[in-house]
Amino acid sequence: MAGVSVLIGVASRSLRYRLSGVVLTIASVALSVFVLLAVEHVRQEARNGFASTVSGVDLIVGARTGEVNLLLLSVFRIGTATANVSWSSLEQIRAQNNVSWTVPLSLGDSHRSFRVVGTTQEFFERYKHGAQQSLGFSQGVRFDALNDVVLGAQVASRLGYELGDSIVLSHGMADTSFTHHDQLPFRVSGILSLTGTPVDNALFVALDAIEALHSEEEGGDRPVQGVSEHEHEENNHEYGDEHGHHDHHDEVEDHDDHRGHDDHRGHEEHAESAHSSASTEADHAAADHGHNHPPIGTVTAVLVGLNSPIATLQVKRWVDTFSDEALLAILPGVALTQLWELVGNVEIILLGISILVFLSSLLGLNAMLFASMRERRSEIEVLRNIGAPSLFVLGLLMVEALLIVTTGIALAILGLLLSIAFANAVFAQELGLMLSYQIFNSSNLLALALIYLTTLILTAIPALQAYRLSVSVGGSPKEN
Amino acid sequence: MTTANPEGAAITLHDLRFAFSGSVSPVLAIPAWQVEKEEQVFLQGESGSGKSTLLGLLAGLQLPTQGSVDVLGTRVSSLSARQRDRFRAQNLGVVFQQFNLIPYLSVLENVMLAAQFGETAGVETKQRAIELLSRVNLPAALHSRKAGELSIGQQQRVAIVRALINKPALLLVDEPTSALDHNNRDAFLELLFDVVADLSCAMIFVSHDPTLGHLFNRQVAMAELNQFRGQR
Repeated sequence: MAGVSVLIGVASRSLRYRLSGVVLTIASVALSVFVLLAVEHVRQEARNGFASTVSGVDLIVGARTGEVNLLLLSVFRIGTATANVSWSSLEQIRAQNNVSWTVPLSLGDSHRSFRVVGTTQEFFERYKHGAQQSLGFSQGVRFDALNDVVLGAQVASRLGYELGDSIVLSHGMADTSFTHHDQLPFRVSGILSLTGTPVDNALFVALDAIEALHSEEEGGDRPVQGVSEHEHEENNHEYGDEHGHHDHHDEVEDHDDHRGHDDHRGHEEHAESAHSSASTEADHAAADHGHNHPPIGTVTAVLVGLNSPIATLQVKRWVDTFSDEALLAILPGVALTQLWELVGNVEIILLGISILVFLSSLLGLNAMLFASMRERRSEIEVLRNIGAPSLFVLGLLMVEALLIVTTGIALAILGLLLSIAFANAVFAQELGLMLSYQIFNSSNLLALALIYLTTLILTAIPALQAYRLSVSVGGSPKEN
Repeated sequence: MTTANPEGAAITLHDLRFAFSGSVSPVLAIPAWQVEKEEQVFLQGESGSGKSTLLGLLAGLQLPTQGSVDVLGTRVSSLSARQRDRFRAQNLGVVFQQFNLIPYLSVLENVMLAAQFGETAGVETKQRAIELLSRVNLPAALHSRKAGELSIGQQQRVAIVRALINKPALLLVDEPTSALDHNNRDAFLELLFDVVADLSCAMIFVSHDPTLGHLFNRQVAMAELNQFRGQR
């Protein structure tokens, strides 16, 4: 009977009548929904951003170690390699049927505390991040000559480098390293676009350049260090490598060589630690002067692309059981998930915050609705007495509550989108992080649905209560 | 306006009993009572004598535990909730002690909202509302004011107009003057009788104040009417 237009008319006048209260309620709903959506969004973005640090790489191969260790080393460039991958192993991997490409990575040098990565030109087209995004150059091109270096976006901006600048790499990680490769200064050939991944914080040079640096230096220009017998041996060994890339020492033979040498000299401690030549070298390298680049003729890790993702596990098994060298192949996605679980406490904290914010917004809404219901009881009585059907009363209260909640949610969404746009405009250059505008996901939508459901229930309960009350107490609430 | 009552009565109660749900003892027990059309009844009773419950039953806001309520020839106690709402909107007018109006609607909107529920809203009814409002000494300047901004006396006069806008055959009035001072009370009652006489509708006027009784052509004490009370 009384049409919807009457209902809307009364509801809008009612809302305008209690405007200040309504505005406050809308603001509180908007604020709590904003915080809820924002925290959820950041949580999802953090997870997605982390999971898409590297994509387009099917396997990462390195010397046998923990899966997370290998990921940290090869992708995040955290930690040191305890062992390496020899060229012969790399070539055997490359020769595998299903392997489409391989990109070797050689770590160990740095430039003013930024890691230097020795790799091949192919790295720039194979390494992907996010949703299969390739690395782009903001300026310049890939390295070509031996002394070209490509800078990650953060390296360039933090250190203020431009194309053509000349820089000197250091041995090892320490900024104060005494060993600078100043015989071979590098020229900046390109600067990468911001990716929001560890790529931004690295310098990239040709693998040959790393080898050239160290062969030169270790061959003759050795810095002032106690030249031990062992280092002599090591030098000899590396000379051998350098002179014959293709006639590698067999691992076992190499090992024996060491032991024999050590035994002969009577260096018991060397013998003890010399379980494998590679680890011995790494240990010594670290102990000597903080240099941990792989010996010449080896690389730290290899990024592997396959022809078909179906072959992934097959190739992984082949690498894991490779007999010449103790190797490990990891699936980047799986390892990233493992690592995220390791450091994912942040996510749990954020999730906890979301839940608390959600509960507090529900409670706030609840309190607000109950308060308004109490003050509106006499109004409901009047409506009933002039013949308003109970559906009209219920509808009036529902329409008002839903209008408040919907306006609040709309403002929250608008605010969040504006905040994302603002954050992207202001912070993207500094953080290398572009927040997506995709603020809705299943958990967000569920939260919003629950807010609506709660609103409906919380409005219906007092409305029905008021209705029942008016029925049982009679026309005049004021008697007695 | 209303269907003809074969018995010519505005109200017929038969074997009426009412108890609140969950309570065993009734608060109201009326074996038989009748109010004729156009009769104006003064119903006197103290607080808690069941008079408001009786009004609730007559208005169809409550249902009797036992017995029947006929209003204007319609058995209200047998109607559905929706039918009772509709019946109340179209045939009854109610005026209470205070808080009769929706505070955020204007004076005219309050009156017209009742017309909406009574399905009489239209240009004609609006014209009638304006006339009636002037009749109870509410000048046109006040018609667009929010009801909440009016004095209690003015609000009660708007409530009369609102109660009469659908040309009801029965007017239920509950302590309408208790919030008014002496002068306002007399002026209010005078106006009430004037407009009711114009419409020639029946009226049940409930009050605890016996001094008003002489204004009515029939006086009933709640204590006599309610047999439950009498038995005690």
